[in-house]
Amino acid sequence: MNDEKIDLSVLDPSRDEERWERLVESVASRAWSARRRRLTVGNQLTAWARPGLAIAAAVAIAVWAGALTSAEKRAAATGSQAEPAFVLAGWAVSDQVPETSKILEVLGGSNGSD
Amino acid sequence: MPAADTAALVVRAQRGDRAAFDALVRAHLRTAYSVALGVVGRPADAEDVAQDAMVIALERIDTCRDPARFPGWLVQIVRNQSKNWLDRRRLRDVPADQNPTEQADHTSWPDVAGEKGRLLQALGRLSPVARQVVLLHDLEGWTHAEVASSLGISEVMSRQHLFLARRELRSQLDGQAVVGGSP
Repeated sequence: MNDEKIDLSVLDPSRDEERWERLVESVASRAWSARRRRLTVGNQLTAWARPGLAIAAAVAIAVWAGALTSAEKRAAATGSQAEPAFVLAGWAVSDQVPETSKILEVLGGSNGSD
Repeated sequence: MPAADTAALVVRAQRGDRAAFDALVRAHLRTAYSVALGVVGRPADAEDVAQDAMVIALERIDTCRDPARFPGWLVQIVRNQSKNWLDRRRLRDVPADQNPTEQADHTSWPDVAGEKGRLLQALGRLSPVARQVVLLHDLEGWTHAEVASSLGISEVMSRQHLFLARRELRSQLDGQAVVGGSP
């Protein structure tokens, strides 16, 4: 008994052929428009992808170069500040007694006077 | 429609063939409607959900990786759309002082007169999965393999759902003298 199909044809919306056809056309038309809009947006994204990447790469290079220059400057500055310490340490190790003018010259450099 | 024909239409649609769009809608909108009806209950609502799901499916047709399995892919979209629609209805229908999660089933089965009304009322007594199985099998003519694959259940479960659904429907329809009997 349960092997027989239940007749559900009364629920079939396509029985009203004219109405169903209008519905099909309406849905197909909506879907087509939505698809075209989506493709248009996709094309826009594709078109802007290369210039966008180029700009991003240029900005990245500029930032990297700036960071590199800044690091070099920092290293140079650090080097000039470390120099007096080395000189003083060298004098201490070697038991040298430098002239006052030399000491002032070296310490003056550490104050950023040069 | 044979899977090969569907696959060919899907490939044409992916390439932007408008006629293929029309053919896919013509061939599969009723399936979308049947699945939506199985979930949301009201024929008018099912029609809206089926239309929206069809538009979404065709808009994203290039994401359908296996064109031969377009019907199953569409069913998944319809089911998701139907669930979203039920969630929206649940939020809309629940009074402000009531927690929406307390409402178990917002699928409503309308009082439609005549044979259609009797069938809808009888379908309303089935579980959502059983409704979808019986609609896809007995209205759309799908095989159990197709139904099982689309609904994510085993073929055995599909057969079992169909057996029980038919028995329940026959029992309801045979014993229902008055249109729109209480659920």
